[in-house]
Amino acid sequence: MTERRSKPRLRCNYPATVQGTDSSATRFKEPATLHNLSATGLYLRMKREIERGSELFICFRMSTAAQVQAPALAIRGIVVRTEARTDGTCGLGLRLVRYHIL
Amino acid sequence: MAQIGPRSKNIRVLIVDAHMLVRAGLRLLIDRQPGLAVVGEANSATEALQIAANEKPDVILFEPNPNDCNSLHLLPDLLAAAATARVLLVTGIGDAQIHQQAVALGAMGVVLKDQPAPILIRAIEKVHAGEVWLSRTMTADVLTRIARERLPKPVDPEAVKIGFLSPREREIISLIGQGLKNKQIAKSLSISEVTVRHHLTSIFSKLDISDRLELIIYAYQHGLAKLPPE
Repeated sequence: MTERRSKPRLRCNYPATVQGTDSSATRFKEPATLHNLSATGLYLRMKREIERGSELFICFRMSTAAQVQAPALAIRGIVVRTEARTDGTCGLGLRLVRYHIL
Repeated sequence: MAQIGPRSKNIRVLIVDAHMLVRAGLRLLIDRQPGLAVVGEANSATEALQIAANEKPDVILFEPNPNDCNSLHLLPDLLAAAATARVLLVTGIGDAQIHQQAVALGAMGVVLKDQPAPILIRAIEKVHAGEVWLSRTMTADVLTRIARERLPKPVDPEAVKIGFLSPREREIISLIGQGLKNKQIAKSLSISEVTVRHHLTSIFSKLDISDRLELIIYAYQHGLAKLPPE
């Protein structure tokens, strides 16, 4: 299968905080894990079920090492893909709407 | 082994073959041809190199040892010992890859042992005259390989783009990879923030990148910035 993405994509394993509204219309703020990132989109996994089309706010730092200088980002994105995973987590693909390097 | 025959205008042939009967048969065949003379026989690499260096034969009939896959590697040394000699592979091995390897190492022709004797005589005369003695398939294989070797190697377009970056631009990318903002970069490099922005415009243009996040990811992927540990 050929790669259709035009932007470089970084595979990662960064802890993130996600805020938004879930499928039962409840506002939430909870941890997630970011698995890949590009300038146009990202993929993360979290425990809560989220509907396609939801808007989420994600904050993360591009390192887990405290003493290391690394970019930290705040991102607003729209969920474009959801997948229920066998481990009980929900995989979410997001299109980036806006981001800010903190 | 024997080194026989005076230097003359004959095509002077050295036989390199591990089998005594084969050498004797080839010698009989060649020596009775007008214009051909066997100047030596060798049954080992050392002997072959010694005779090649002493006799400077015109043509070397070389039988690769079927039990030694490295025996063909003697060819370049033989050709170094007798620079004007032309090597003709005389073999019972029908493996085209072996033939190709022999050609790549300097052989000018291949004669199979199941071919009639006049073919060998003709092959000796042809390679001595500067021609090759190869099947059409083998010739095509050799030409294809040469053509492929001459094709320009594909260039990594990203490496080309990165090559246009100045040392200062690389410094700035490295600092952006650490998460520094323009003001911090300016302070770190003792330049103005406006200059940092100018550099960034140039970087985006050279790397065909549209924003800072894309630059960070690109920098990590192409070694322009060190990816912080996860």
